[in-house]
Amino acid sequence: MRPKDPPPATYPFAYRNPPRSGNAVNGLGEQEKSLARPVFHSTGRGGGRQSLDWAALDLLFNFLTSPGCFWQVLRTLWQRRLYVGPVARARVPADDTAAMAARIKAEAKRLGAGIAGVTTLRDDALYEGYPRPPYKYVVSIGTVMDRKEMEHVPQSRGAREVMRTYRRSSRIAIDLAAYIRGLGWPAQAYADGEDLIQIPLALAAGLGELGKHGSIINKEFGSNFRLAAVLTDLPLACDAPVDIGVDDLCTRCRRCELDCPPDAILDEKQMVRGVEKWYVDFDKCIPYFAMTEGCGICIEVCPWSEPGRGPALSEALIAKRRKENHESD
Amino acid sequence: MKSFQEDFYLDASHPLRRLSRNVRLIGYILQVAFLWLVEGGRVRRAVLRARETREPFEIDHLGD
Ligand code: SF4
Ligand code: SF4
Repeated sequence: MRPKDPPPATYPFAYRNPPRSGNAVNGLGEQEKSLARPVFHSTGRGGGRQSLDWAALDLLFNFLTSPGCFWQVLRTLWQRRLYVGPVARARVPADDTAAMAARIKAEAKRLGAGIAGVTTLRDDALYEGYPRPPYKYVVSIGTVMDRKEMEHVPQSRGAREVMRTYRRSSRIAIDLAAYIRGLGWPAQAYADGEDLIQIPLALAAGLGELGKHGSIINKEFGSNFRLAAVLTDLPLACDAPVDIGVDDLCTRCRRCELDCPPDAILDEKQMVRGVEKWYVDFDKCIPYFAMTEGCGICIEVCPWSEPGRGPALSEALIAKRRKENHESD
Repeated sequence: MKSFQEDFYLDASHPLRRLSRNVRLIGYILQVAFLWLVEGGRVRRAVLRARETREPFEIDHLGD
């Protein structure tokens, strides 16, 4: 798909005193490994919202939200009271961690998740200075968005579908956490911008690979889904990260780069806090993101997001790589 | 003070804790909705006006 009439990257707002570069806060170019630092969205539970460098733009983003989006946001906020709850006294034994993981993933899908995977709580999902959640395992879940609605990004209609999906995914996480607590194990839902970085968890749980547009790409749904997580102490067999050929395509494809109005997508991997990975220029993306109620052009134009295309694409890319490796041997 | 808190500690699942959480959440949601209705309209209008006149709307004061 091509974005329909995206507004140009000229802004109706400006900073009198520009904030510190978000790329510097994010650790672009830093060779040392370290925890992420919050800069834009955050509930501010760790450091306080006002201390975030880009808090003013975040506030503007919230105020520019259309009524349909705002209604979804309020409903998601109301669901927050259900993130924790009572744990059943009788504990179901979980000696067979593989069978238990399969049971939990099946339950996630029954509740409406498109994809689910398991990993352990990792440092790269935590913000510096924020309390570490007291759980060992993470069930990462992806809730698929309605592609017909998402074809309207970056207009309000696409943004409404994004917020509706966040509400649904938070509900799925809540119900899954309640299901695990019903088995007698502590569990808590982490959705809707709770202070946990979802993408590293989803990558480790094998939900997909990181694309050039800085979002996760799944073999079946591309980037057309939103993440939530359930943290628990229930022992579960972990999934491994996957290789579906995303890097093979991203090094040749330029679709998202060309369609991004403010030219925020960098065409080479960058060193970010000691890890080389795809990175989006924060200072260019976020003002446009705020002005357009969450943009989302890059994730929808990506060929992986086209329904039904991913599995064949992955197969062809892996076969091509094998052939090239074979020829060079 | 510490012993008072220990004596009257309520588990997260206790109905009173849940009630207080709900009350706090309702308060927070009303606050957010009120702010959005009052400030949101003003900000949206300012941004639209700025789009037409091409005079940038300054956002610094929003974070204060
Ligand atoms: S549009 Fe192309 S370059 Fe961008 S993330 Fe998708 S496959 Fe990679
Ligand atoms: S979300 Fe950001 S990176 Fe993606 S197309 Fe929009 S401005 Fe570009």
